[in-house]
Amino acid sequence: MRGLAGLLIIGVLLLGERATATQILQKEADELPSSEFDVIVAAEKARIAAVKRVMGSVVAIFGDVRAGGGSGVIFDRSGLALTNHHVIAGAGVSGWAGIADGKLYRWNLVGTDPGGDLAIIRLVGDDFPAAPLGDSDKVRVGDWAMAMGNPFVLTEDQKPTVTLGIVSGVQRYQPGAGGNQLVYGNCIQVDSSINPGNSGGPLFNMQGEIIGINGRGSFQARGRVNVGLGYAISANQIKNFIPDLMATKLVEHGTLDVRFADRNGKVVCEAMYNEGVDIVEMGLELGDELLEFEGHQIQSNDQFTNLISTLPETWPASVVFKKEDGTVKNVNVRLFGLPYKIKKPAPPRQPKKGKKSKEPTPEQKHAIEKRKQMAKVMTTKAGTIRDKKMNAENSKIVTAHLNQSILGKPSALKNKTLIVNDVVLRANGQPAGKQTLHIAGDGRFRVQHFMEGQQAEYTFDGKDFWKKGDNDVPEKMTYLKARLTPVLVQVFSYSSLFNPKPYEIFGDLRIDGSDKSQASPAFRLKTVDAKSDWFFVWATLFNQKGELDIRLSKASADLNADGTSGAVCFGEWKEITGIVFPHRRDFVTGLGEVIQKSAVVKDIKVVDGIDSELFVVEVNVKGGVTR
Amino acid sequence: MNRILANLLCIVFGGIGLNAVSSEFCVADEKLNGFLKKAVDYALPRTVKIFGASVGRIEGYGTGILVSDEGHVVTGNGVFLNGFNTRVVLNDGTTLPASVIRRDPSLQLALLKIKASTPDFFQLDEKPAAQKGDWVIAVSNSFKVAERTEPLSVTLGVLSLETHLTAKRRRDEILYDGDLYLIDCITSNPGSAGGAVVTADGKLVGMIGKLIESTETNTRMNYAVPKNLLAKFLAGTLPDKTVESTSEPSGKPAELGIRLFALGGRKSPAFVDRVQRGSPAAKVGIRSDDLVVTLNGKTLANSADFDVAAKSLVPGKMTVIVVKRRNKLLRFEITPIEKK
Repeated sequence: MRGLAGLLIIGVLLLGERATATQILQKEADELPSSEFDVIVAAEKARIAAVKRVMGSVVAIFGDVRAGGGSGVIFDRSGLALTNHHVIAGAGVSGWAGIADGKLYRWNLVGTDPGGDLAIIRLVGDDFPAAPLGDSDKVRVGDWAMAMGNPFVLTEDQKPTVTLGIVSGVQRYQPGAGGNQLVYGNCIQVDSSINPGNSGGPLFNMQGEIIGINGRGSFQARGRVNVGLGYAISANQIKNFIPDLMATKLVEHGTLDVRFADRNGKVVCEAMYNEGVDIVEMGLELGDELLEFEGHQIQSNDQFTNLISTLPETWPASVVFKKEDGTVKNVNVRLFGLPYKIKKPAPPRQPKKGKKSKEPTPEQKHAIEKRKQMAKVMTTKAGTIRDKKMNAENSKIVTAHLNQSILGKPSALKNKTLIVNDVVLRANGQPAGKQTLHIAGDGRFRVQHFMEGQQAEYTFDGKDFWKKGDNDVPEKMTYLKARLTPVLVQVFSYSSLFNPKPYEIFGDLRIDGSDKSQASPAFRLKTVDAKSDWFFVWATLFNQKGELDIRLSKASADLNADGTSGAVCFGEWKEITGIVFPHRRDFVTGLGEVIQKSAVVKDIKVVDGIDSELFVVEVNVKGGVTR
Repeated sequence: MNRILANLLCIVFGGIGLNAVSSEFCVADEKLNGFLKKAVDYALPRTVKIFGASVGRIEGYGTGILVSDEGHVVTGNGVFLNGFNTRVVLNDGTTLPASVIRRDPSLQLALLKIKASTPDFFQLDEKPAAQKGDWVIAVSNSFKVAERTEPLSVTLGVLSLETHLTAKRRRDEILYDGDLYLIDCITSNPGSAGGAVVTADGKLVGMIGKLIESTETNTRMNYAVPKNLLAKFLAGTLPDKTVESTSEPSGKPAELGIRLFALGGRKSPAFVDRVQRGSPAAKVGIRSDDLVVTLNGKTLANSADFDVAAKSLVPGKMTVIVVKRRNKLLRFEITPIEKK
């Protein structure tokens, strides 16, 4: 009995009736060693604190009329919120959203992923409370899990409902609704109550991190109510899709376009559908054994299906397979898209003969208009940017985060110069040269690069790029040439974060979609309205705390970095007097980011003033170049 | 009891406390956040998936618990075990054919045997492992979420009550006859029966029982067959409570040749869907769409009543059936035949 009483206390505490509960607990406490009692009280307080902390980020989502509704969760202060595709498919491309402050906000659809039942909307306003995204690979069976949302459209005051349960299973696969839609791959199964209206709402761990988005349950003849099996799209799958969705795409899921099957305890390639498929070009043949996919050892075809269903199209996947002769191949390929079979909306009903066709009411007209808008979203070409204006706004959010990520203080480099001495290492870690960087607060810079007896000096004078080779004669580089020179890329893609001059030359950065860099999901940004060719910048999404913390990860003029120039990867970010600098820059090639050489900081300092002399390129007439 | 709960909660909330509240209270680290890990790790290798024959809308799968090191599995009895190809899937994905060696109709249990040594099993004894108010977790393959190597589902609840369903209404519809544990985690799902119910430190409490559903409200009961009854069943010392036949005086079922509409719910009115050719009903002139009003002196409210009344029929013994056709009540004298 006493045990039961203890349970009741938990219930009461959850409701926030702390005074009464404490009194009851005090009674119980007489029979408990004080240390254990304190632990219980502290734990309860912690849970209440976690609920309080994240409650404001939970959204009740409605269409324009309040008929039905779903849930969502804000993951960035700008009002970007996650929800289910099937929620917005019902609500339309815009509507009303309520959060715990009791106010209703307008929302607009940003992007949607019918394949994984995920969508991003943006609430109109700013400085919203946001919840962090956790690492769903760390979720274990038996962990506590709190679902929050708007079940049965209960929230009159827009405050979410909280239901507590445990994680019942991980790496679950729930098949889709046909046409490659609504597949839940590698998802989290919980016994926290998930009911109609919870769709799109967050599943939190006890630290208040989003570990999933609740979207479906196992329902049976008894109707669509909780029977103890709810499923949440895992946070790590969500991270793979956020950039595509923020780019305002209709996102497709990825496929290798070959079929595997279990044979005698091995997973072997069983069928190929099309010619010219990347993985086939890389040497995969029928009968070859799949060993690893995206860093996971593959034990069964089900496991592979589960993993690949969490990846968007064009994702650079790493695949390891074994040929029949025993050779093992390690390749990286971009995934193809699995096309959706979208049902065409039914034509409007014809009035029956003999009956006068009624003029539709304004509400009906509005509903028809909304259906049309939704149909337009669903029939846009998958993988393309649907709304350039919205993409530009989202790109601004991303670049603002990107800029923030390197500046401890906004004025850290004002009228100052960053001087970096690097050691240049070969792929095997052996030193092969050195370089010195001078980066001025106004965006100008100079690189002196010595490697294997060769030296080169590059300068950006605020307008043009210059190269001085062994012959000591400066020559002006075209922008194309500059973009293809990794030694320059390592500096200007960094210096542009505090002084956007070089990028302005190339064009505005816009979100191009989801990608992977340094084994993490990343935004891929692309220069648009460029007078010349494109330039790509990769930025990772979240920090260890799960906050949207967008950080420069890679830069290249080539999408797959397999051209002659390759790409530069940035790592080991450390702060030096108010500015954060990548203490390691790897020069890599290919989708697998194979390191060719690396620059590692030997010493670094920030000095006052800018010595303009450093960045002025003297051109004599003999050189044949005039300024 | 209190001590157990307090210990448990320490583990439960220990990890959580650290981030938000000052950590002076608890020594537990973040690893302990999943307080059920021990129980889950213990129960999973001892619980198996069972796949058998699916008949109509009855699912062909269930869950079972290993109860000996020689491959004995206890599960809920059901028609899915009647096929020729019953398979048991162990936690590591090993699939083995199983044979039914014993059944118990009153507890609705079945004992299966696989030819394998199973070093990980639940020791069945008669000592209760939990009391009212204790946390329990249920491990099962509800909705067939797991097929091969995938782990089973784990749900959390509280042991609510140990009871015997003496006061239950419509007792004749409930086959289960014995003590049981009511639990408040949802286990009344397809495929759940036969799953393990264990304490938060992994001790076996009982086994998820076969589905009990109210025909009135469609609600279901979540319960477990207590471990001591499982132990008796395994030992073969259960009293023989073969259900005495209450409604078949001749011992042989009777047949009228009438099939009623099944409208999904169990409470559909007793409309005739089909009349079997050459059957007693066809001979006296009963037709499709007739509404059966009385049978064998009993007034029928719905198709379930019809089934009850039909059970009381005796082959060869004349009885009266009244049906409503359009606005008329028609009375027929009908002689049932023996069911083939």
